[in-house]
Amino acid sequence: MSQPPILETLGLHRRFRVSQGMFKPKATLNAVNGVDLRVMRGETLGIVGESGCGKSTLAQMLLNLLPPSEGHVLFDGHPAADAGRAAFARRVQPIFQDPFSSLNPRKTILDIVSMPLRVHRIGTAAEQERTARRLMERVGLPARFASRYPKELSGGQRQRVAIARALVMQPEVVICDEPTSALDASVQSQILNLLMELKADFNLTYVFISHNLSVVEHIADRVAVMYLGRVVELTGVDGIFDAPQHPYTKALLESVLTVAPDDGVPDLALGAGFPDPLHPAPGCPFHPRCPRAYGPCDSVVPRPVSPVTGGAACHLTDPEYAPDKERAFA
Amino acid sequence: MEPLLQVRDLKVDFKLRTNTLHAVRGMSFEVREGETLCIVGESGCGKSMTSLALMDLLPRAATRSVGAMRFGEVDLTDRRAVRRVRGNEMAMIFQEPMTALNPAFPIGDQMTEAYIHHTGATGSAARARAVEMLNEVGIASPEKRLGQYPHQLSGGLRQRVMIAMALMTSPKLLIADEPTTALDVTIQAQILRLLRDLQQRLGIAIVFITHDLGLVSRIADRIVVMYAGARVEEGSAAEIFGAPRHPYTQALIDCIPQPGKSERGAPLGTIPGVVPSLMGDVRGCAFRSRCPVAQPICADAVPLRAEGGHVWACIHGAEKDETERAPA
Repeated sequence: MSQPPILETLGLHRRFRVSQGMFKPKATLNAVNGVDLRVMRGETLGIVGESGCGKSTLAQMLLNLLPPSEGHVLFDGHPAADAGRAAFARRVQPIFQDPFSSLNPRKTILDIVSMPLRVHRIGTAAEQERTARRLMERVGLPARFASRYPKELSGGQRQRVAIARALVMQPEVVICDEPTSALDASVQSQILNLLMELKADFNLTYVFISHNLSVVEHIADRVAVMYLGRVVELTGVDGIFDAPQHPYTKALLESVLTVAPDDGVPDLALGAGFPDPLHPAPGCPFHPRCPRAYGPCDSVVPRPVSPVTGGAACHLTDPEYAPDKERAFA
Repeated sequence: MEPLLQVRDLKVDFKLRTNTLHAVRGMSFEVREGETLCIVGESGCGKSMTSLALMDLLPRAATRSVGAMRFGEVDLTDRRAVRRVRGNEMAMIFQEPMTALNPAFPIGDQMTEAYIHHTGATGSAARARAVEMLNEVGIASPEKRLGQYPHQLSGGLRQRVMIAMALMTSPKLLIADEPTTALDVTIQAQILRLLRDLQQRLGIAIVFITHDLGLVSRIADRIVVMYAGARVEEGSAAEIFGAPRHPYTQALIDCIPQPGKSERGAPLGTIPGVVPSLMGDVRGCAFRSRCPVAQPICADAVPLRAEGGHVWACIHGAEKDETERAPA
């Protein structure tokens, strides 16, 4: 038996009741709709998808900040819900997208970085300051920043503060939710390089959530693609980017505008129907936009992706439903 | 042929209490009929201020000076003339259609307002035109949409409405400031294809402002790279991405992960240091403090070098061996 996952989700659901208007009944939004994932120690699991696919809701549940409506998050084999927020937070820490709103504007940088140590009462005040200063230096923040406030720092510097704060507790897992999306290209590359270095130095495990596939391809070991609350494909980074199975993954990859002056803008051949998370289509939720939808797609929900072996949640790859080869690859 | 839009030595300053911030420091460029010019750069490089300056929409604190700024026969330094062409022959679309559209009015009212103002059309004629334009941008059941409010539309639909609104008056020039940045990638591709189709069918010139180099490489006829308020390089997509001459352009391209080219997990290129302050006098090359090939003379005035349409503001590049930087 290979080693157990450090973080695992079992049949994870999160539903929200959404108001549709003053006199209309509330509707149920399935933000996360049955997600089984395993995060192995030492890996970077990338989670990609478009807005509304549930990736940030999933992140909040992985951080034990949002209780699941159904299912469990297991950390090291034990339910996260039982661990208590403080004990859990010592081992799983977040880095969020917007370093402008995730840092308290009235605290100095040193206060912000050492705050987790104070909350968890780790070490004396002098030790806390020493640890925090060491982390600041490691993430590339000059010592003179210690007494400054977030508003005096640039976006990249603020994200370094958020990284130092996340690592000061020596967590085992870091959940990065769009950590570079608010940054310029030249700053993004610095932060990505730093995250890759720190992962090696501190033996970290990353869950790296992003809508930017080029970034995920660069940093992740395995990738889960989400669509309307479900994982539709899960494979190693080579599999996702070199041999995608799910039609949605293919469309997503084609739509990434890499530097290619001769290629022009891709024609995705996707149906124009925008996905509506409140009224997902029956059967495969992607079928109204899918260029390869056929027989069972509008009635049968595809088999979910196995968290162990991976693959695609698509009838085309399911032996029970797969149409004959000619039709599938015509 | 006369260019459609001609801008020479555009400067935008913000006078602060004790000092002056030079947000745009002498931009010059031209846009020909029917072409797509991309202005690309990172936050604070002055790309949005450049576009606002064209339309005389700068914030009140800004002061503008230009050598020349002409749109066809119209002198854009004449405020009354600008008011005649703005939202008429020269239209603009913005990044966030939710903030650019008024949430309190149905989109039909907003689409027809400028059209009625500029053409003197009747309300019903204007609504017919709005339906036509919504059809043009691929929105189903347009009559129904006219009565809807912006919050009832998805992000992609709102951006389509913005484009339809800009097209109401049959503009010759569309200025698009990060029009797809807030959209998902699959929607972005659809909007970009829509813009390209409209451009080919209606012969509109587009000034496209963005920070996204990959996007630029796919849509641009010509590219202006901006850094710290100034143009550092200009050329075709093949020139800028195949043989960049300015060290900033080169460094910026190296920063982005490039599937299929950059090795997975390997360190990405970085640009050391930070953008210099644009307060007070800015002398010499603004990139020199971060430049790997800076020389002492970079503190003096920067020469503008050119090879055909490929222009760059750097002491280097002229003597470069062509084969060395040929596209991979």
